Amino acid sequence: MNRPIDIFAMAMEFKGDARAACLDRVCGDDAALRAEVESLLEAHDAAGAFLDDPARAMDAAISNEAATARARRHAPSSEQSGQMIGRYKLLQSIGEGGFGSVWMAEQKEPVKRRVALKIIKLGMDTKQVIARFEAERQALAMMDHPNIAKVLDAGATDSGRPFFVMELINGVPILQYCDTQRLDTRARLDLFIKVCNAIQHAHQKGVIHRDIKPGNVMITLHDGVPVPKVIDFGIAKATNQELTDKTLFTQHQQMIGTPAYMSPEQAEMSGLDIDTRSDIYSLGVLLYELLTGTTPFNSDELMSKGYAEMMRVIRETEPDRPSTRLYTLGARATRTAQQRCVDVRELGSVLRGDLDWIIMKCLEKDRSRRYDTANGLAVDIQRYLDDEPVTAGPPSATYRLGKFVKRNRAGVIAAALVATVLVLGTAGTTGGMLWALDQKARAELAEQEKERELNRATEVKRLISEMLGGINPEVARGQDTTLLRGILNDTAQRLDRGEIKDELIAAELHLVIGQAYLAIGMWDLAEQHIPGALEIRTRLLGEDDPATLDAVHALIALRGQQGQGATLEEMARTNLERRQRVLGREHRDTLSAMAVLANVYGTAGRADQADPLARETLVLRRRVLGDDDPDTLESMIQVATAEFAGGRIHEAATRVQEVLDRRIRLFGENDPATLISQDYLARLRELTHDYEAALALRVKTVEIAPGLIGEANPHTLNLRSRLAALYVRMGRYEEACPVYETDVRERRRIAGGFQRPPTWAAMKGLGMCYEKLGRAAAASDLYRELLDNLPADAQDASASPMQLTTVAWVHLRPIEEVCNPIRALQFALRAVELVQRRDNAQTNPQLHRMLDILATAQDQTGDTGNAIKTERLAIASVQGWLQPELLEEYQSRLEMYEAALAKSASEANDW
Amino acid sequence: MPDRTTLSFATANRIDCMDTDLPNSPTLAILLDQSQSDTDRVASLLPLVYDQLRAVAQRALATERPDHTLQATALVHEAYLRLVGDRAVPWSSKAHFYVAAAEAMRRILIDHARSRGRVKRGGDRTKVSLTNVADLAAGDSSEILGFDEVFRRLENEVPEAAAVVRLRFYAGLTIDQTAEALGVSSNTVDRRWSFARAWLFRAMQERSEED
Repeated sequence: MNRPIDIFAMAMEFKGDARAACLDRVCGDDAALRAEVESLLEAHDAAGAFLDDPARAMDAAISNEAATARARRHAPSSEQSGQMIGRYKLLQSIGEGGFGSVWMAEQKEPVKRRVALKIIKLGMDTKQVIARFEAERQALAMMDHPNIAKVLDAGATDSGRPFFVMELINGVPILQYCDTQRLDTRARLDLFIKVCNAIQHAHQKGVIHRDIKPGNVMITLHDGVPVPKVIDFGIAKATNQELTDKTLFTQHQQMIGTPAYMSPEQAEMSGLDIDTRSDIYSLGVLLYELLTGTTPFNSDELMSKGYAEMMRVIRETEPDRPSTRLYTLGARATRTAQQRCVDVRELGSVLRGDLDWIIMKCLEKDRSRRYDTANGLAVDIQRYLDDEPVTAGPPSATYRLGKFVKRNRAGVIAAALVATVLVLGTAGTTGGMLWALDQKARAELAEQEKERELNRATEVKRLISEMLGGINPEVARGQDTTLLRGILNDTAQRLDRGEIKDELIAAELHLVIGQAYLAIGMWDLAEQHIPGALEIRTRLLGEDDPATLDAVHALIALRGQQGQGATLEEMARTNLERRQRVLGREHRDTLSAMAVLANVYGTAGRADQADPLARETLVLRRRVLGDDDPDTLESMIQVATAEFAGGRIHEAATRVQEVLDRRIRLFGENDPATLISQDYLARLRELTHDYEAALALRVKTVEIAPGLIGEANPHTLNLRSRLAALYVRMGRYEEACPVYETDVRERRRIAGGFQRPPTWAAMKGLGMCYEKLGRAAAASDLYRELLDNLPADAQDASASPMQLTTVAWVHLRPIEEVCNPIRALQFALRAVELVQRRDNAQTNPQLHRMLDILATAQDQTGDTGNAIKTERLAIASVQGWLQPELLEEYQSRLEMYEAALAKSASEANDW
Repeated sequence: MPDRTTLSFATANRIDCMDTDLPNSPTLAILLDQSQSDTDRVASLLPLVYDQLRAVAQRALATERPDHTLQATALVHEAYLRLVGDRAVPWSSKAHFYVAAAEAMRRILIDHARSRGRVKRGGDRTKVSLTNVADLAAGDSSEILGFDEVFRRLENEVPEAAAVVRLRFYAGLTIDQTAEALGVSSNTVDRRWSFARAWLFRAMQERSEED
């Protein structure tokens, strides 16, 4: 053992003298070897962060930012250190940016001190800048606050560039500080409150900052305590002209730094009417970024849009709520959370609610809805920290509707719904004026009008989406959709009357309405809108336009729901090919088209095509969208369903478990998607006879569902039925009984409860429990009540097959008061006959139940031969892999009949 | 908006099912092929992995600041998903993939450095601030090539330490994964890694002093 690596490893085990002794012992008098090892040990101690974290390169971004900053500092600049600017001597460059450069400088007169000198780039009217600064100088001088860096002086360099002199702050920008220190949300809020106080002070002295952003809020350490310092007061105003000047803007894009912090009123072309509430907006953006790691609007995206579009976005687009944003960040959310010392789920739940509302209140487009003062904002945050109710409230759908109507009040009567606003707002107010305008102005006005139509269409779209809540349609269908349907119908009527002039906008609305109808399961109404939207878009935009493809996508979804499979596959395939070509193979929408095609294949029973495609979609979505994206999770469910269909239930369960874990982490337990995957997983656990696990899940769903999706939501009721059925399967009738009792009570309570098959099913389940527990009287009462509410005559023309079957079932119960096999046979026969006559028997999912009950009735009336035939039909029509319990049950009954028949045959022989 | 497919139990209207887990990707086939030797396997994987990883890395390298997107762990994982998918493969087989990926990553960085060509010099950036592949990619070409030269010297002198650097640094594996891939204990990997860091750090320092 005389290789450096071995000796090095050994020496690493020791420190100090012990290490020296070790080296003495091992190296003996090989001085070269010892020198080599010692040099390596020394290198090890000096290596610091060298190759320190190769497997988790997330922090690379930070270190590199530092490197870039270092590089910038050394970048050449026209000023030299040592140079005198006015009475200031430049010492060292401490920053460089689009605006110009910042220097550490020394002031000799009247006092000797170090200051920061900010030299603005050429390209501004120096005189005006300085004049504007002078105008505000007095106000600036009055500011005296520990969290405000004083602006001391302004002037012009020899080369004619304006400069500002400020208190020298030795600190780092607030975001960088918070992230490198991994401050948690509370610590960030504490710092932020101090920033609010500083801004409040300035506002009270009549100074508006106008350019609040992380780079202008520095953190310095005083005795180890972080102290925020807001810098650059007065500078934005002095250099303000350029903010709203289009040409200058495009020439010097960097001039204003990031537009992400600009308030809507700053983005107005007039740009003059700025008050303190503009700073409140920017504070909101700062808080948004402190908490989520992103700004409400992405800077790069804004920049890429061009000036006019960028301003429009800032003025009109509602940003995501912070908690919502977090979920769209994918892998970045993890980093954001890490920097706040929490996991994503925790951060999401911290943000959701109060903090969302506080931030969104700052970000209101209409400044009168923002906090009046920075102090108001600080107080609300303090309330949040003290667990008191905040003044900011949730922007609920109805609130949003109210806000929308309010915003468009001109020409609208209060009772008018959104669609009214949509039309009157545009046509009514401008119609009379058109004549007075010349041709050019008229064209411009028409353009503006179109834009207004478009904006309103967008608003309607947002409103409708928000009311749907982006939740699973299965859940949406159970919600109270009255208001939504009102809006949809009204908008639809106005569309029909041709009140929307612009065809493309009409198409947009048709599509929105169609998709909304689709979401709430009103397919006939969706049919009236989606194909029309597609027709218009195909005609005006062409087959390949992404918007056309969106309409195709919706049509496929609709046809899928209508079960019109014939052309579906072709449509889905073409849509995928087009999206691949137009949007690229990895676009989110392309991946959705892939998922849809896989689904279409699956529904058509083409597992060989569906499964690989579903898997491919999953792989792509994982890579492109990240593991936590809702689409990726949807894909996982799709693949799990394919596995389930292929009988690989354990694999499916593992996958659904993963989806569930992720959803809980991302959205918490109180979330519709989480709820649905819990239900799915419970079903899979049942199928693998892991009843305890299934039970734990089911108990949880029943706890959560009522509060989450509503007491009367069919989904809530079904979850409860499933829990009760599980108890029954586990033989735990005592526990099943109260659950069924609640189930029956709740189902009866909702309108039309008695007319609905699930209510009968719940009553049947409860009756069975009573029977098992020996409570014959209770069972009898229940059954008679059931019979009283169902058709008394098998030939009743209005009776449905399920009603008839239920009656038959009751008459087969071993309870004296209701047992009547002959009647049961009449009803059961009639039910099956109706199904065979009315429906396509093969597609009626309940046929096997009817057949099974018919078989029992046949057997009990002595016709075991036919009972066997009927039971075989029941077995053939139940999908055994989906409902193995039923299959088992039917098979055991079949065996029983066969045994009985064989026995009677042998008895006949004996005789 | 219900733009997405609604998945329900109705999707599962299928009785027939194909086993989609058959190895239909060449990479997977190589990984599962027990007849090849370890060296052969890595050799046959390399071109496949290289192409794929480069495709993945190019996107990261094309951005102005590769540091945001270039993470060895993520890129190698992505290449793996593309080539192998999410099928279950024994770790012992996966190890070959990572060995190949590490070599591919090393070559990609060299290609990247050469294609960049420009060598911006300046004493401001200390080479020893390097913490991972992203840092390296963000550096100038002389730094990338310099690090590679030093790395190859280590490979020559202390191959077992270099093997750890390959997997840890170039493929972004953790200590434990590296241990599994090399078939040695985590402690051993830890020791070799400490040694390699010290060795490389010293060599990089010496280089910068020579400049």
